[in-house]
Amino acid sequence: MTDAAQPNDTPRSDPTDPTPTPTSQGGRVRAINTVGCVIVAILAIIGLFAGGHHGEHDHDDAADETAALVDVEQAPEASEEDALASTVEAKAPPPAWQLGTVPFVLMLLSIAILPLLGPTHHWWHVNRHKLLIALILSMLTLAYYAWFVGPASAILAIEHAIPGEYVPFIMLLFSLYVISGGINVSGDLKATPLTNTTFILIGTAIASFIGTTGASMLLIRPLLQTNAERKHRVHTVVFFIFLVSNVGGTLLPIGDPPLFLGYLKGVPFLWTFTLFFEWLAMSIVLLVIYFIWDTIVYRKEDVKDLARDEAIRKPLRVTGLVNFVLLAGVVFCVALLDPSKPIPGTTDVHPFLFMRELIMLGLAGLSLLITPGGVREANRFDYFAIIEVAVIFVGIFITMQVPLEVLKLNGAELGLSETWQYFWATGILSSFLDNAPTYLVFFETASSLPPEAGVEMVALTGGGEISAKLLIAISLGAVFMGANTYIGNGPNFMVKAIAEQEGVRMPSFFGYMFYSGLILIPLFVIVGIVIQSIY
Amino acid sequence: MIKRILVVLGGSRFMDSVVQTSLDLAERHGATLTGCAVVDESLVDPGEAVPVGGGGASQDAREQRLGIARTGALEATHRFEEACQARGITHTVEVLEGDSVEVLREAWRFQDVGVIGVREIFNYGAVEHDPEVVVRLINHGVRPLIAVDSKVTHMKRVLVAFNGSAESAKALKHWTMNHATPEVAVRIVTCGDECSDQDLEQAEDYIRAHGVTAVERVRIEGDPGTALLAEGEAWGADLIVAGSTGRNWLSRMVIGDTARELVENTGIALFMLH
Repeated sequence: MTDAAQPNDTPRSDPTDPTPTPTSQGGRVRAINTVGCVIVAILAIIGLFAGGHHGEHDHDDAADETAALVDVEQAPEASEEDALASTVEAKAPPPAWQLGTVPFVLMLLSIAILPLLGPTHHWWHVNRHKLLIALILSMLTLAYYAWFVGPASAILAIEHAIPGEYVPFIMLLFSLYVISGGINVSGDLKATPLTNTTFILIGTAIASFIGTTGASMLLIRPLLQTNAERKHRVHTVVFFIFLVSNVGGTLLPIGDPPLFLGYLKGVPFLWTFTLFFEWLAMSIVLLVIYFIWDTIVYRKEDVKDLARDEAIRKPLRVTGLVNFVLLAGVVFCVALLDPSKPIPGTTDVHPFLFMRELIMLGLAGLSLLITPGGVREANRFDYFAIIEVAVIFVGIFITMQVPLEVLKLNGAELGLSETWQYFWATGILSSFLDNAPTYLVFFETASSLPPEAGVEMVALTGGGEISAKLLIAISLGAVFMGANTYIGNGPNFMVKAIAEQEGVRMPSFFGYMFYSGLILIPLFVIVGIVIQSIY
Repeated sequence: MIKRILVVLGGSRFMDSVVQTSLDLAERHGATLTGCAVVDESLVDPGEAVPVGGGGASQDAREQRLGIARTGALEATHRFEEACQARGITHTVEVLEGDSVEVLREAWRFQDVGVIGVREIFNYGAVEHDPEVVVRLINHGVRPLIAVDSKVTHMKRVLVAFNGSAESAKALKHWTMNHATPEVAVRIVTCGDECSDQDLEQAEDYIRAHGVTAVERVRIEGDPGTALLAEGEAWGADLIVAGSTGRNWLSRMVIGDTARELVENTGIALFMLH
C-alpha cells in the first residue's frame, strides 16, 4: 500500500481511524470480496432467471413498449397480442395517464427533496429506506396499470422495465464500478499547471471508456495528493468535475448512464462518436481556460508552499492494472454482444439473452478475485453507492413506464421540435434531476416526432428511428449539463466529498453554480447555437 | 448575585473572548464556571442535495465532519480548562451531544448567566454557523445571555437600550443589579419618541442609585436596530444591554426584531434579556 493511499484506508464506519491494522485490512479485503461475490452471484441468478422468463416472450423492444399499452376496456377478452395490436392502432395513451405519472414525479421528488429535509435526511441515508420508497411507488404504478389497463399490462410493465432496461443497466454499472474500483493511482507530482491539466486531460480521455464515475474515482485522489501543498485548489476540483465527471463521458454508451440507456433503446454502440467534435471542442476550451486560470493562481501561491511541493514528491504508481483488461472486456461485451444482432463474425448466431450481462458479471467477479490486496482499501471501495443506484433505479424504471408511454404517443404535442429546445430542456433538467431518466423522457419525446423531409434519422436497433440532430441535442444536454450542479451527476458529488475530506473548502451548492454559470453556461450557449445551425 | 456562569465553548474565533469575559465575571463575583461544548449533529450534518449514487460520499463526509466537530469540542474544553486553571477559577466542563438549544437549556437550569459567542457558535471547524442559535436560545429561556464579539472587552462603556417597555426595564434592572460598578459609564438610549422623558429620567435614577455616576441619556432616530448599533459604535460602547423590543408580529412571537438585528450584525458585546 502506498503512503498516499493510507489516509483513505478507513472503513466508512470509522473514518477517524487512520491506521487500520494488517489484520483488519485482511478482514476487510475478505469482506469486500465476499460481499462482491455474493452480489455477483445474486445478479447472475437474477440475470439467468429474467433471461429465461423474458425469453419465453421474446419480444423486441418496440413490441414490449407497445405491449404495455394494452387497454382492457377496449379489448377485455382479447389475447395479449390482440390487445397490443388494437392499442397500437388506437395510438391512445393509457386511461387516466395523468394519475399514472404521479409515482414517477413522486420518485423524482423523493430523490430531490428527502435528503434536504431535516426530519428525513438521516432516514434517506439508509439504502433500505430508499428501496422502500422505490418499491411503494413501483407498486402504485403497477396498481395503476392493473386497475386502469389490466393485470396483464402490469406484468408487461415489469417485464419491460426490469429485464428489458433495469437488469442490463445495473449490471453494466455494477461491473464498471467493481472493476474500476480495483485500480488505484497514487503519487505526488509537482503541482504545476501543466501537471494538473495533464491529469484532467487523461481523465477526460478515459472517462468514455471506464465511465465518468470510474475515471473520477481513479484520478481525484492522486490529483488532490499532488496539490496538497497548494492553497488554490478549488478551481482544479471544479474543472475536474466539469471535464472528468461529465464532459469526458460523451463518446461511448459506457461513459455516462443516459448514453447507455440510449444504447439499450436501440442507438447504435458507436453512434456516440458522432459527438466527437463537440466533445473535443468542449474539452479543449475548458482545458485551455483551466490552464490559464491555474497558471495565474500558481503565481499567487506562497513560495514556501511551492518549495514544500517541490520537496514532497512521489512517482505515480498504478496498481490493479489487470483491471484495465477487464474494463476493455466490458467495452467489448457492450459493443459486440447485443442480443438483437448476430455475434460479429457470424451470420446468424445471436448472443443468448443476458449473455452480455453474465459475461460482464463474470469479469467483475474475476476482478474481485485477482485484484491485488489493498487496492480497493486504498480506494475506500465499498458497495454503498452502487446499491443506492440499484435500489433507486428499480423505482425509476418501473414508475417511468407510464410517462414514457405517454411521451412516445403524445410527445409531438409538447411542441418540442427544435434542436436547441431539446438541448436546453434535457440539459436544465439534467442539472437538477438524474440525467438518465431525463434522457429517456426526451428520447421518447423525440422518437415520437414524425420524420422531417431531409432530416437525417438514426435507425434504432429493434425498430423505430429518431432524428439525429435531436438525439445529438439530447445526448449533449444530458451529459454536458450534468456538470452544472453538484447533483447533476453522481460523480460530481463524490469528487466534491473527497475533496472536502482532503481539506479543500469546496464552494456551496450555489457557489459551485456560480462557477458553472460563469464558465459552462456561456459555452453551452455556443454549443446550442452551433448544433442548431449545423444539424 | 451571580454565582454560576454557563460558558458556551463554541470553538470559533469568538471563544477566546467568551472565556475571557467569563473569567472576568467569575473573578468579580466569586462565581464558578461551567464550560459546555456542544456537538449538534443537525448543525454538523445539515440536509443537502445528493445525487443518485452520492449517498455514500455524503455519509462519509458527514462522519468526517462529526469526527472533526467532536475533536474540536474536546480541544475547546481543554483550552477552557487551561485558562481557568491559569486564573485559579473553579470550573467544570461538559461535552454534550444533541440539539444545541435543548442541551443548553438543560445545562442552563441552575445557572445565573450565560456567556456565548454572538456568531459562529459550535463551529469546531466543521460546520457553518446557524445564525438562529442565539435567537433560539434566548427564545427558549436561556437568559440572560451575554453574547460577545471576537474582541476581548472590559465593559467600561455600556449602552442601555430602553424604550419604556417592561421588558427593556427588566433588562436594565437585571444588568444594573448584577453588573453595574462605579467605574462604568452608562448611556441610556431610546429611539424616537417611544419613551417619555419621565421614563428616561426614572431609568437614569435607578442606575445612579446603584452607584454608577457617569450616566447620560440620548435620543436617536431611525430604525432601532441600525441606529442603536451605529450609536454604540460611535460612542465606543463595550456592551449593549437590550430587552425584547418586538415591532412586527412575527418578531414579537419569537424575539424582538431589534434584538434579532443586534445579534446578526453587532460588533459589540450584547447583554440580552428577552
